[in-house]
Amino acid sequence: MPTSELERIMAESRKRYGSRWRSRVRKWHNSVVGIFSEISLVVAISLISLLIMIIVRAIVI
Amino acid sequence: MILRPTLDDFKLVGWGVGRIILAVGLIMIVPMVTSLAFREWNVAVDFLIGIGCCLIFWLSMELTCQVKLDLTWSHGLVISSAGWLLAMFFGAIPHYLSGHFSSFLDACFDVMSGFTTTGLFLLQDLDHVSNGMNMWRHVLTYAGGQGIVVIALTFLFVRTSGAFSIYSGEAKEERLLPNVIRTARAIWLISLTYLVIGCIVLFAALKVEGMSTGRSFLQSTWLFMGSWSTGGFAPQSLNLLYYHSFLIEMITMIIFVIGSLNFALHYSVWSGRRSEIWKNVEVRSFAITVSLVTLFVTIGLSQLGVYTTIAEYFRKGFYILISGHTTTGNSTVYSSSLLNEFGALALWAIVLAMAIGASAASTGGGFKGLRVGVFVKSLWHDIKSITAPESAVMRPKIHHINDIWIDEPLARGVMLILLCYVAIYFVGGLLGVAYGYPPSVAFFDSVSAGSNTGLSAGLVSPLMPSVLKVYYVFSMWVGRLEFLAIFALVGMFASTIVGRKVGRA
Repeated sequence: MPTSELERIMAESRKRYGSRWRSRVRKWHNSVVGIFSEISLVVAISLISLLIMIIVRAIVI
Repeated sequence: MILRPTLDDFKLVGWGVGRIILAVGLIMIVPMVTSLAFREWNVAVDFLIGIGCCLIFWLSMELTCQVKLDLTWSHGLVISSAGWLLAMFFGAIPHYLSGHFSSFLDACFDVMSGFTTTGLFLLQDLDHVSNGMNMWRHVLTYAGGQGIVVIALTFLFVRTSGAFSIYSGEAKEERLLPNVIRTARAIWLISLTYLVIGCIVLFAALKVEGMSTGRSFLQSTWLFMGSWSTGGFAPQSLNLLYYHSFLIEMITMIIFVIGSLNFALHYSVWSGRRSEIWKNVEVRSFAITVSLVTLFVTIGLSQLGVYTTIAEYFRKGFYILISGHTTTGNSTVYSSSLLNEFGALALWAIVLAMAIGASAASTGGGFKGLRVGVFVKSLWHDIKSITAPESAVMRPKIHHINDIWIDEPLARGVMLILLCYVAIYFVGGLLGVAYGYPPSVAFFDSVSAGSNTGLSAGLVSPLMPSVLKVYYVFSMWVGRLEFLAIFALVGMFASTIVGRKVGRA
């Protein structure tokens, strides 16, 4: 492939996806936010269950 | 017509199993280094003997089983199932040499329990076990959670052709990336990232609770490995009850629930598709079943009235429930308390939670949320079909990473696996009853073993009958590999006897 063509494709790719560093930062950002999303899922399920326990206990006792 | 396997087929299986045993030997380096660091020389020698045996087996397989034969689907499945079985025997060598087991069968039981992330144990005097042995128990369960085959694929398999069949044999059918070896590496990346985060958080919590720095370091590593892999092992016989710490209970709970999620879901969420976590059928199925079981457990606990405060309900009832549902087996109560303080309703609700289990392609066991989702959707579709006009065209679908249409073969496959699970739970329960255990205890422990959970109502002990020990080992093995690989192994041996000898084209 001619060098000019390769440069054109790389420039287009950078324009579309950002530089390699920006791409890495985005990956890290996604991973960190992903971990927090998973933790928030566990917290949400626990809180719903706690609420069920409080309501059922109030009704039964 | 069934074809008889040739000598080359057996050689290929032997070569693959050799690589898996090499992986087991390499994992043993971690506890050996731990033993050396703590000057436990005798324990280090036990591991050296174990490593030596693994290396001898691997070398003999490499030298005698080199064949130019393509790895087929059935080869891969047989390599997985046979590899897991032999890994148990080789992994049991340091266990048996430690002197904490009354027989080699007991050592095999513990190793299979570790590899399958079950968490039941027959080890005697756990509170005085060496650091090296404790490290081995937890590394076993951590490695088993990701999969021994995944380890072998990550480091020891160069050729990718046919590798997916070995990977599938370990009950992980989802590719995170197009290449199966890169998929295995992605699984390790996720696990190791959480290992670092989890260990730091647990270390800080143990320091807050007043533990010394050295013990905090070791215990945080072990607690993380036991929780993340949904293994449920802990360095003390009292399990999580030893710490009497709400903080540690909550941290381990977060770790094992995240550990019970599908690796494909982790990868998807980490790649930026965060909405997947709320749309995924396994997450929805898990949230619904947890809520329902919470309802029954709360009613059960309220009827008995042993626990009075909402904090006790949450720390005892909910913790055990969610530990059972994720097939972890970490416990904040004594085994006897499960029988005496929970009551029949709560106990059977936990049995149901254990039977359902965690997500597919995760570290957990049980039916799996994906199958429950397919089963419920299919059932709902059948009910709607009856009431809908004849001309109506309906096709059920579920969302798991992508939309999946449920067709008849998929629904049939799911039903078959569900029935197989019910069968191993039921046979184990009946066997326990036949040996004189109360039905609730026998079925609780049978479901716990088959679903790779590890909670016990008191049946599992070094004094339990040998027949039950062997059945539980079998149950943990087939439960972890989800039957298909076991069927392939049985089929290979059966076809050796009844198959027709045919020349290769």
